[in-house]
Amino acid sequence: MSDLKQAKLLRDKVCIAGVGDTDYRADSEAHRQGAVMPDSYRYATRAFKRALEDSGLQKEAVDGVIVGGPISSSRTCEVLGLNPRWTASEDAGRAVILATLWIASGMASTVALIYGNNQRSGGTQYGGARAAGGEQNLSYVYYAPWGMTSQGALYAMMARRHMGLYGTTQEQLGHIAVAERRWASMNPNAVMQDPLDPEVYLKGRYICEPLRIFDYCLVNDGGVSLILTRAETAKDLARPPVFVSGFSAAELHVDSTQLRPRMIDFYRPAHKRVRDEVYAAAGIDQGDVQSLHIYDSFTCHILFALEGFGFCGEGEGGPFVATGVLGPGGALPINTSGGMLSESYMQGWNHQVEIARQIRGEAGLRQIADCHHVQYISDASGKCTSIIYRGD
Amino acid sequence: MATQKPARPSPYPGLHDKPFWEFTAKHEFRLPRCAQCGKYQWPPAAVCAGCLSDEYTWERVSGVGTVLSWVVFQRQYFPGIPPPYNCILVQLDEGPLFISNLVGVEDGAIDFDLRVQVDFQDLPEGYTLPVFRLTDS
Repeated sequence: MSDLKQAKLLRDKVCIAGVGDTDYRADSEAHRQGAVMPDSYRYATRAFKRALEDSGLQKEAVDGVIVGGPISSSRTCEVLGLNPRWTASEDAGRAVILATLWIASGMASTVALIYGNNQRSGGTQYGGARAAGGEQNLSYVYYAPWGMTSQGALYAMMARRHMGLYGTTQEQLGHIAVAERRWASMNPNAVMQDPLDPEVYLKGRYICEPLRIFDYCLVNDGGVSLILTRAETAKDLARPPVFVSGFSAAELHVDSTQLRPRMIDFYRPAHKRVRDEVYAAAGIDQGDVQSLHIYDSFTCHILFALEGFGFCGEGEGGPFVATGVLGPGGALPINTSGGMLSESYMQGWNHQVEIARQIRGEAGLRQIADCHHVQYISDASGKCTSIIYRGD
Repeated sequence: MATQKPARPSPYPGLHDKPFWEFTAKHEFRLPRCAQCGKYQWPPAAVCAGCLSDEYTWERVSGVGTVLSWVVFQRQYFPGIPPPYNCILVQLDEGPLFISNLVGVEDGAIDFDLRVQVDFQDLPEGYTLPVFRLTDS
């Protein structure tokens, strides 16, 4: 277990100074029209430039770079003309945490987090014999001789088991897709904004039963960047600071190719370890969280995380989401940009941007009133992280 | 002319996986078991994840288990495996979880807790796939 005293020392020491993202909707439309599309570095560098402008900092201030997606840190730095002290490659949640550790320990002062991915126009495959991520997660490719492939199928198998154990229904899963689409309809940059109601959801074609097309995230191009810096310099920034208030992480890898942490445990042991630390680290109660942002490559991600973090009881996720609690006007607004189901599949990175916008009061029609505490949760492939962000 | 894609993907070509497929070719269902602590290591790996021993025996297991979950693919991912087709999650009586296909049952009739036993399909691709069918009893 992490030392809570140390976690408290890190509280609010680092802040998001700037955020940038790309034109998901316009780029998606351009690709549909047959335009020649940018590569991953172009998306990444666009987002970085916007984040830097948003922060009011100069690029010479950047002494750490963490990249995400298919881009390399070395090439990204070369393209951007950066000679930092530190580089790394991480998923969205871990990138924020690592940058926070670098900055809070004095090893770096300003860290740029940069993600770019031309997965749609570049034809990235998430299923099949060469499924992306197979070199990291053997389960993505190991069962190909039986036709078992794609992360969607793994989640479909988890969802089916949840249905068998607890009576969860496809209609209930549909409420998650519907809630995110309702949020997306208030986000001008969301790729999917057409109305989605439960009836339309249930008419959606199956990809891998019991999951339908609307249970799957988008696959679209884009980039995201965040600039993190020392909280003590926040008063000099162009925008209101968004503090990294608390975080925790836990990973489940034992028997992961055998699928035990997913299918038997729904990743709950990792959820529990993180849950036991993250609120205490930030010095808040779970009830103080005003908006929740969960890694959502598939609808059921959200159901499992809600249960694992105790927002509802184990097995009660289906009836819980069916109350409409997650959508606009609900008590637990979730993925208010439309998330990866309806805004953009930026592998958790777009969630960080939306959190910053909510805390800064820049979320337009979807703005949550007096938004101070927002939580991010990811458990993709058993690597669970959670971060609590706070506004001034 | 475009290169012909393999009809069905080959087994994962890991160093430690080879014996498994050599046994299925003989219609034997064997899993690697740690010679030190007795833990089944599925899929095979460099060492036992329990005690780090690298000594294994390939132990014949019952091939009988229980269906914990399943999916039915409606989208095609492999040219040689046209949808719809099922994949099942079996908990073997010896403990390990095993992904496979259920044969001899309509996809719509698959259910939780079905008792199943291993069967073997000799494929034209040159390997033998362990699949499952309902137990005789």
